[in-house]
Amino acid sequence: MRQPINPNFERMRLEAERQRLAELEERSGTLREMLESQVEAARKSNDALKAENAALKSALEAQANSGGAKAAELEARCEALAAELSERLAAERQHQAELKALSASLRSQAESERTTAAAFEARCEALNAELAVQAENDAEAHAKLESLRNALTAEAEGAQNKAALLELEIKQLTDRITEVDIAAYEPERLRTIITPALTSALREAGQESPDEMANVIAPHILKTVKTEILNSEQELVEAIHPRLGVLIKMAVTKAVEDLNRKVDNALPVDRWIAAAKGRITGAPAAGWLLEDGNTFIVKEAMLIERQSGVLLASERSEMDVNNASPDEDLMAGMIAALQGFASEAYGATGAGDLRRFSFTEDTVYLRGTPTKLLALRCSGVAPPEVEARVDELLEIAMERMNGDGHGDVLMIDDFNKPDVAETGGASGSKIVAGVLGAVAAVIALIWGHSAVTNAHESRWISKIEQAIAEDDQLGPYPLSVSREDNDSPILVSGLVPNAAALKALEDRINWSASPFDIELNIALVSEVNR
Amino acid sequence: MKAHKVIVIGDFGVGKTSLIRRYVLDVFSDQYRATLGVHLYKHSDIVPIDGTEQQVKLVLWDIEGAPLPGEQMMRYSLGASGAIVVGDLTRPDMIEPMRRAADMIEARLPGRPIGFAFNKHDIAPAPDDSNIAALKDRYGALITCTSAKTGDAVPNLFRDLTARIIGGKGGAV
Ligand SMILES: Nc1nc2c(ncn2[C@@H]2O[C@H](COP(=O)(O)OP(=O)(O)OP(=O)(O)O)[C@@H](O)[C@H]2O)c(=O)[nH]1
Ligand SMILES: [Mg+2]
Repeated sequence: MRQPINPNFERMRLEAERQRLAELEERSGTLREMLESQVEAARKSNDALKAENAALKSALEAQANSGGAKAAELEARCEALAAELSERLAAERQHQAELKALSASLRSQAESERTTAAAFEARCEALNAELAVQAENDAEAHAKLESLRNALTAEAEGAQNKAALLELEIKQLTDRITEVDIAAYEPERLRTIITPALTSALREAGQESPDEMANVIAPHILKTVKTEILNSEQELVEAIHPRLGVLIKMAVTKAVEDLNRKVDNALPVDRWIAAAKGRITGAPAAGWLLEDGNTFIVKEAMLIERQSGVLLASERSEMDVNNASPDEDLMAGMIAALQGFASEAYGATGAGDLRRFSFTEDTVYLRGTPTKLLALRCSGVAPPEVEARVDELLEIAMERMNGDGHGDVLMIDDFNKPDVAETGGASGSKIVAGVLGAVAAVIALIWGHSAVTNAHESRWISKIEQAIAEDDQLGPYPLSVSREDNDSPILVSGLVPNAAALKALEDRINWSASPFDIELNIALVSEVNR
Repeated sequence: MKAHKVIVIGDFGVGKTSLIRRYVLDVFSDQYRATLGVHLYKHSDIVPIDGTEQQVKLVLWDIEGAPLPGEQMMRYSLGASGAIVVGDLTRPDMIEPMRRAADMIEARLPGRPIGFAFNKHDIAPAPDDSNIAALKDRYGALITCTSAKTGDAVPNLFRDLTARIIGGKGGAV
């Protein structure tokens, strides 16, 4: 259905339209105004730009004018610089010249410096040499100090060694008390050491079939060696190895003797001993014969200084003259070395001494005091009692050596009588006098050499004094007997009435048969008064 | 005539045996056979003592060598009248063992003369003078460079030592 037109409405619409028109008109007027003012502004700015442009143009023109002035200024400055440069150049040249001069002077200075350096070097060398000399001196001082220090160390060591020795001794003693069984000493090892030595010892002993012989006597020898070793310690057994040969030789000789013993049972050895004993004790004893075919003889008697092995006295039997005997000085040294070794290996002095050993085909009987050794070198196979008897004989000798002075004057006198050595010689038989002589001489010499003991010496001095006192003739005369030291003779000095009295005195002194040299320093009254 | 015991000691292989054999037998061998224990040699000689020629008898104890003096060396040294201490010039530290040996002699055998033999001088030079002087100062010993091989200076060393042994005794009287 169509809406009916409302006249009011139409009117209202027209009014609105009109109003909008009026508004538009107003708006366009404003716009116009705006545009006009804009145009005006644009024109104004255009003018301003124009004015600016003109200003710039004039400014540029002005600038262009001032450019020329600047160029001139620069030119001027350039000139100035050039001038300065040449100035500087000149200065530089001058400077260089100066430097050249300086370097020349420096060079010469260096030259002189070098010369001084060389001189210094030379001095240094000299100083060094001096220092070296000084250093050497220092070294010497150092060496002295060093040796002093060493001496001290050695001393300390010596003390330690002594202590160790003492310890060893103590240990040995304890060990001995506890009787160790030889089985402890590795029997297998002992066997390997002993067997070859044994074989060679037997061969040396002249056994044709050493092996067979070894079988027979080996048990015996092993026993002997073992008992010897038993007394020493394990360490000592080691030490003995190189010397086992000697031990074994001893044992072999002993064994061979044992086997041959029966044959010689008849040997009248005790007569021999009795004769010797008779000599020693001063009892009269006749010469005594060894039967032909018996080989046992004492070849040599030796008195040896125990420590040094120096032979003090010796006597060789006449029966040994044909033999090429060993040198006695070497023999004496060897005996001392062997004894030294044995006594150390087997214990303290005395108990550990070797009493007997074999030397080539001889047997050496050995007895000793702390300072001396007496050795009898014997050959041949000793009869059974010989060892015991020789022992007895040597022990008597040793006893006497140790100062039992009973009957000594007689004894020495007796032995010094020349007829002792010749006893029975006229009969042309083999006489033991040689043997006796040997023993006797040794005993006499023991007296001489034990003279170092003061007791013995003073006995001799008093004997001589006594001889003087007993002489009635000399009673009132001043005589003295003295001795300076062991090496000097006994000195008898003083005054006697006359030659006859002097002769009597000399006889008396000779009668006393001193083992010492006696020097007489005696004046005679008859001469003094002349 | 009483013999004089002279011991010859030193390290092993220094030439003790060779020196003795050169002096006593005038022989030398290049072979080395070590000495076990002790070997003894005897020698008679004529030695000028205090201006006169004297007959002397020496028993020389050639003792097993050892770098330092041990029991054995000491035992065999007992009662010696003099000693020769031997060193080997070819060994670097030869002097110290010689000193030790000499110290042992001084301690055990005070006052007995000592001779030092610097041996094998044919193949090695003498030691420094300062070393020699130091030994001389310390022990007042005879010091000689020897060669058992050529025999150089060997008899004289033994003779000089003997002269000291005997001269020293005579001087005391
Ligand atoms: N070139 C040279 N060799 C030497 C000299 N003296 C010894 N010899 C050699 O040195 C080695 C040892 O010499 P020995 O005399 O046996 O030495 P040692 O001191 O007795 O030795 P031990 O008995 O083991 O203490 C041997 O080979 C000798 O030949 C020497 O003066 N010159
Ligand atoms: Mg040797």
